[in-house]
Amino acid sequence: MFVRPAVADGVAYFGSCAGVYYAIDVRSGAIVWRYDFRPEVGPVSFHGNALVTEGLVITPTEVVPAHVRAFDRHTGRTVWQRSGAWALTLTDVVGSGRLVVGRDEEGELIALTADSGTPVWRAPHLARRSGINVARTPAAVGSDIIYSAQDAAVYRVDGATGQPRWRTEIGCDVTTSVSVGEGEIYVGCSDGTLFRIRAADGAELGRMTLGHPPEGRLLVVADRVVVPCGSGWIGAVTRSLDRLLWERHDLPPLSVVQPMQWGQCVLTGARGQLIALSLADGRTCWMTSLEGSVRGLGAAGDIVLVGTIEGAVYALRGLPEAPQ
Amino acid sequence: MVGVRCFRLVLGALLPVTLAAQELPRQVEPERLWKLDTGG
Repeated sequence: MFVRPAVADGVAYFGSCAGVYYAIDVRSGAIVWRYDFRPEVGPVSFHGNALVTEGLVITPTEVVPAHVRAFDRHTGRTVWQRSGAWALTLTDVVGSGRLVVGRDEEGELIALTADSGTPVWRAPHLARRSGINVARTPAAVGSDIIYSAQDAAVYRVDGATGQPRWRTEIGCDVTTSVSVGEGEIYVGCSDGTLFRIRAADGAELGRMTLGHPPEGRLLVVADRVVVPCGSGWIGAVTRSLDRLLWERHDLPPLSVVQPMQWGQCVLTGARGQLIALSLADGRTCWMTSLEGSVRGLGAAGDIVLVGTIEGAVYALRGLPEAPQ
Repeated sequence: MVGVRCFRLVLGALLPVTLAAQELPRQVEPERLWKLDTGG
């Protein structure tokens, strides 16, 4: 399990790299329903986070051509599915009334209605020069969509029409998700620079050079941004990007690309270990041993869900939410 | 004053030891509610 499970009404929704999508009762582990994609679309995995609406769970798949499927989240019945000549690798389904998926080959954003999967708009004005990198899932801000593209820029588009509101060039290859917090956007680049951008108008509010190229999903929590790097480095900086608060480079190679807040800690993981670091100072809060390499993390109340690269998913209860 | 200085020196000497001790990762054993093998 690579993704962050979507959780609603005590049920967790996630796909496995073996090609099966699950709805699991979080407390009992009972399978509410499952859907095997393989007979229909062949080998498939799930690297983008799903969107849960009142009645649906809508998941992207990592397969070409792209395949998006909306399940009745109570029964698992397919309500709609849409395939197209676009790739959706690692792109979340985001939005509220509508959803947006990415097209990484030609750079288009594609908006489909959530209730029926009907295409609403495309953004061809972006297609000629920008592509949506697999690690650069879009984010929703109100009814608008923010994303980064291969033309070294960050965009905000009107969620209703797909028309651009602003474009901010940052001049380097974006390597992280677009993370949003209280009207500000954070992205990281291949040269190790973090950017802080105002969501309203795209104005750059600050930047900071880390020296470690950030990769994966930035975690914005309170007054800080937690920054994972593929090299095994993880750190936290102030939201104003004027100070490094802490850094850890003594950990084993981290296999989690979506760190998760857990009380006063941030959860990450490596081969054989779920690791909690203090959000305040980066010290190790605790560790717990698991079989396999920790990959996907999620939470439902007091339960932490942990997926491993090898395919096991654990439900753990009683994990401390503060440094021990 | 001498006593205070000595206390500070001792405290200063002990502090790194204390911090180093706290850095030892604490293994916790949460309750494992269930495990699902998805096969990959």
